[in-house]
Amino acid sequence: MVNLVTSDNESFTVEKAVASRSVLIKNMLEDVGESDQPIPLPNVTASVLKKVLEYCDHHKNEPMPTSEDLAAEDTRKRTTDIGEWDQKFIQVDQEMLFEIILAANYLDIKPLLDVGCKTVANMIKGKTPEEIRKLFNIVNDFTPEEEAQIKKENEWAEDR
Amino acid sequence: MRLYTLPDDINLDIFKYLDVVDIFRMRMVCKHFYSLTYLRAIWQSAYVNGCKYLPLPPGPSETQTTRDLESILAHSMKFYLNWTSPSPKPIRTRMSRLCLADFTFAKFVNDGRYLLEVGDDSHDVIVCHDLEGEEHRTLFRHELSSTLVNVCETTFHGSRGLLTFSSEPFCPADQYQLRLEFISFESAAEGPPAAVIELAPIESTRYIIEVAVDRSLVVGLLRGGSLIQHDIETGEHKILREETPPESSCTASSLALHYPYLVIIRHNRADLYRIDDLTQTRDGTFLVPSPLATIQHPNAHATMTPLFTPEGKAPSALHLFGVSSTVGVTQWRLDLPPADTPSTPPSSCTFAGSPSARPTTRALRSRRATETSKWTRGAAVASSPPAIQIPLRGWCGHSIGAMGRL
Repeated sequence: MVNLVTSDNESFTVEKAVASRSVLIKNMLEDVGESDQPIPLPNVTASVLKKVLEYCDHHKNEPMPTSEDLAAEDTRKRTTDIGEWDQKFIQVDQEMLFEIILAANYLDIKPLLDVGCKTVANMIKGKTPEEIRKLFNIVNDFTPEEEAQIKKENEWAEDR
Repeated sequence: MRLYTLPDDINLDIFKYLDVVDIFRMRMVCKHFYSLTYLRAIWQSAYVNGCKYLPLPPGPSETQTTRDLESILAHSMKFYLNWTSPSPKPIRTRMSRLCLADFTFAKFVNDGRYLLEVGDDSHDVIVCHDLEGEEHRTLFRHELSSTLVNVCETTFHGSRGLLTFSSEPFCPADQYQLRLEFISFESAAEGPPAAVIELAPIESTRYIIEVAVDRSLVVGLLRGGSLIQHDIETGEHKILREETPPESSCTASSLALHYPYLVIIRHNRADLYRIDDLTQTRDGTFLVPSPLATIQHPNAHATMTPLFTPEGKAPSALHLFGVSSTVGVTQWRLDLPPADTPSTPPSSCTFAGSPSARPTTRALRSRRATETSKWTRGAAVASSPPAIQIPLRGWCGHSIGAMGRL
């Protein structure tokens, strides 16, 4: 078992197989060796870690992505398909979604990072710039002149 | 926590899942995303993604700048959206001062550079127009001494040109002969073509209705349904007989050959065969097997052109155009298996839009388009592929050949 301590000082005790889904934790465990020392995770809060561990627990028996998989990443064709369980798992509010993405990035859990990024991409797809601003609460900070210019250049993409 | 407060590398990961249009829309959202959409990584992965469905040249390569990748993708996407929309508009319409009033059929050859006008009242004259430049000049005019059956573009002894097939209209029964002439594009000049090579004729006991050619291989359609296969370099000769004609088949009307594939076009269907499969011997005859794939279309009268196929390589996709006065122009694309996997049927059948690089025909000026038509592969009914149709107004021609080029 591995003991993880979050930024808000909550501690989680999980199986080694679950914690090792995180490449960061896996490497730490390998460096430290067998030890009862708690692992501090200063960038992750308890509510987010709970969610991340839920993901790790569900996927604990799957093979880890190899370094070849990661190297092939850029040449491979990307799809935004997400597995059924993952889709249900990632149905959270935006705040939590971005926290999970950040945590997955920090903890180095590539498949979870992909699920998060795909989810955001799916939210963006097919929407007009105005709809995107509204959905993500983004302020249009272009000057009217700049906006007119950009609209003119990208007119073809806007009307679709 | 907001989308735009995520670190840039995470935003880049998200952008990599977006389509070209979505990236351009993100550019319009705010200054932060505007600047992100100028990063190479985004366009590089959009290019890799785009190769799945957009007509793109090979890439992305080191020599292409970010700006290059972006503009190729934008151009390609606009092209794709237009051609797959319910009402595609011509990208460019060229009006020609050529007088094409009374031709029997017209054909684009030499990658769309030349337009052939064939026949006026009878099938006995071929006029070749050069469409390059503003002044469309007549390259040559060639009169045939007998009735033209077909004219095909091919490479003969390393020279690109036209192969004409003509026959005497009145022959004694059982003694039909097809005269072959080769006209090289290189030697062509205004007036009579400089070099017309007369080749050994093809002899048959039945009238040859139609011929198709690819390099030195000629396939002829005989009255009654049999096929003749002839090699003009070696003189090798075979007769192919159809053992079980497809159900509800009518007499074949036209052929298209792009080695190793042969398309036989009947009244309302086009059947795809692999030419080498046609030579299975049984009792000394050659049998035509069931087709690898079939396109069904009301009033199919199609010409086939290879898409993005470099000279001398096996085609990766076949383009079929169907033109009729009632339905309009229909275009299909059939993706073929790689040449080194001979037994697998065509891998998929998708439509990729690519209006003629030279939409000089009246056909491409017409407006509305709908998606119809049905594919069957062997006996199994495949899901209906999207095909595009453009209804015609005032068109009474027979066929159009066009080359899809960006």
